[in-house]
Amino acid sequence: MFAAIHLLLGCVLLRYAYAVGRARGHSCARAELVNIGAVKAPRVSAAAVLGFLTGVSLCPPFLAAGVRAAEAASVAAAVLFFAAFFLGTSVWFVPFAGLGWVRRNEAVTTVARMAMVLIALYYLYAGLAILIGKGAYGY
Amino acid sequence: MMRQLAAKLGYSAAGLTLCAAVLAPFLLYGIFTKGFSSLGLHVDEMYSGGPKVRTVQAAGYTIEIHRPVSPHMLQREKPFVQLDWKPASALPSRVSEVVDIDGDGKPDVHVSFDVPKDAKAPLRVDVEPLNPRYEAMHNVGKQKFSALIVRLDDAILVRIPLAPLCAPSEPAFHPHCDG
Amino acid sequence: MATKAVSAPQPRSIGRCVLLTLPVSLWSALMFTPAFAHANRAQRIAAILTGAFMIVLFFLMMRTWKTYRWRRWFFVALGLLFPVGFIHNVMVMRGTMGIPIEEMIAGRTPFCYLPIPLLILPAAFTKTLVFPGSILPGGGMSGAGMAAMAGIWLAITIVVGKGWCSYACFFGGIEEGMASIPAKAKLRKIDPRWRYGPWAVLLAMVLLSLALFEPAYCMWLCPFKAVSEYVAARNTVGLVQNGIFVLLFAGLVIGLPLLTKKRAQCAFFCPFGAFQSIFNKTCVFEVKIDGTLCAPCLLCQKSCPTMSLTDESIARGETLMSCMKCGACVDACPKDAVVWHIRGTEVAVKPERARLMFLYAAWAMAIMFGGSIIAQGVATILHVVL
Repeated sequence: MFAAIHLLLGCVLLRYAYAVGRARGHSCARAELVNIGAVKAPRVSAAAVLGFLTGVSLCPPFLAAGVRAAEAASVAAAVLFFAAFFLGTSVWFVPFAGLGWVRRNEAVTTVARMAMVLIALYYLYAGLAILIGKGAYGY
Repeated sequence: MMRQLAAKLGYSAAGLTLCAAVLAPFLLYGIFTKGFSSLGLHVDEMYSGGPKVRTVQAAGYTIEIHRPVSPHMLQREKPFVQLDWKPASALPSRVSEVVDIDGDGKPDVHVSFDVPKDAKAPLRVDVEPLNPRYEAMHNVGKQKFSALIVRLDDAILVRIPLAPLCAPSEPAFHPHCDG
Repeated sequence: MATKAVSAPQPRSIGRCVLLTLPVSLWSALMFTPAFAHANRAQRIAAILTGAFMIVLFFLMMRTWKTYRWRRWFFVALGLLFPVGFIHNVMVMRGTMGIPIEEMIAGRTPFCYLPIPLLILPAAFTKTLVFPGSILPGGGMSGAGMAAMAGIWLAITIVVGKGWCSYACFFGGIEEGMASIPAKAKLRKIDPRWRYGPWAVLLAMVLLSLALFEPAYCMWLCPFKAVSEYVAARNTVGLVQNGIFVLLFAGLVIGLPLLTKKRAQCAFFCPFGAFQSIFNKTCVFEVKIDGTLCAPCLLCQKSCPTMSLTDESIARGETLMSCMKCGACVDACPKDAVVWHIRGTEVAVKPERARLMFLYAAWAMAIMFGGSIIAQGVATILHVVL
């Protein structure tokens, strides 16, 4: 399974690196990644779906916060705890708030695409190594 | 006037750079080297084997026991503990002994290996764990940093992998790590 | 404004050249004299030959008013002679170019400057150096240790910035030599976006080194393991790693420079070069273009071995931060519009003064570091021959 995940991630990275240079105006490169669903059927924004999935995935700090909140004396205290948890973790995203401009810089996007290809090659190698049962390292 | 000031600063900086070039081999190089050494950095223990913590005396040789080493970040190596038998020239032709690694008075592993006279001959080791904290190892050459037997100068180094849940970085509440 | 091509200047008078070369001669004597204290005959002869070589090259730089052509002799010699001395030492100490695991455990792997940018993040987070060397001299092939190489690197970088890539790097000379062999480039159209390659390799290698806690570039991508040493392959993965570096060396260091007449590995791949580019912002010496004299004929752009001059940068009157200060563009310009420059001063006002100040600094570093490596290579050849 880990091998499949590695190979899948590697391929997605390669596809993204190839496609992002061609798509204009979309954050996610191709139309089929932007909206899930056929042309005529009701379409769901992929960004919304992925965001929702990320939100409900239970990471350890979230679990710990959930346990702590469940031990709280009242619902209000639990809500207050989670509000503080949200604010405390949101701080980490503040530096990224103003970084949209980097997408318009050719140097940054080119470097990012090339780096994606290199990292993708590593993931493909690691996935293949796990798949064929060999260790992933020379030592 | 600003232009003149900028030019003067520029030439001053260039002059200082020339001075730096002249001083580089006599002063700067030494300062930077000492500065780097005093940063408190150390080579990754995955390579160095970790610091020595105990020495066990045997008949004519010693066994040096290192602190267990944990992998960092996404390192694929297992956690391990390194044991050094030295001097290799004083070892019998076959070493087979029980070692108490953690110093609690109970035997932890049974290690056996041959000591060929030819220093370049490949080595093989058998490790039988008597404590579930350590993994068994058989006929390992030097394929991995975390599981090997090598001859280094006048010592024979054996690295025994630890069971993953018993790594030094793991919480110590797993029952089978209590030893 | 169209300007006339400047006619080739008269060679500088010999007396003046001797005077200008005097500081370099003294420096050379200072740097190579210790070789006489305890050296054998081969080392003494090598020290004399190397010292004379560096002095003559500087004299010719003064006489002809040109930099690139003579600097290139030094740089190619460095690139060819470093492997001679290094591989000889490795074979004497170890008997093989492959690094056995014992040497890595003992911390006796020599440290080259290429992994410096990869070690920063792991060291910052965990105070751990992810390189199987010794911080101080550790015997065997560990040489003077990692601290010494870091010290030398910092000292030279403070003086010349990315000029390291033209006056200190002991690998780039191989490509520069290959690039100078053909009369014309067979591959002339190169997408300028390949210039971003070194930054991408740097980013990927820094991230991988932090994640895997190993010098990822050294383990997987360094083409120069072909002319120095490599981790001895113990299994299939090791063989793959060794295959990769052989292919990269053949392609980036030999093949592409022959086809493009560019320093392909340096311009499109080397992550250390990208890292050094940052220090071009702190270096007081740079190359500028005087817009009032510029044609623009774009000869500077064609001559640059690392594509550090674009139409936009020429219009702005400057090179890109990837400029290695090799002097190719300055020497190629028929209008003397491309000049050496000291930050803060006026462009093209007394450019020869700027050139001299830069060359004294850079050549001092070249003699100190590169010169000692050339001398070792020459001594190795003499030791074998004599």
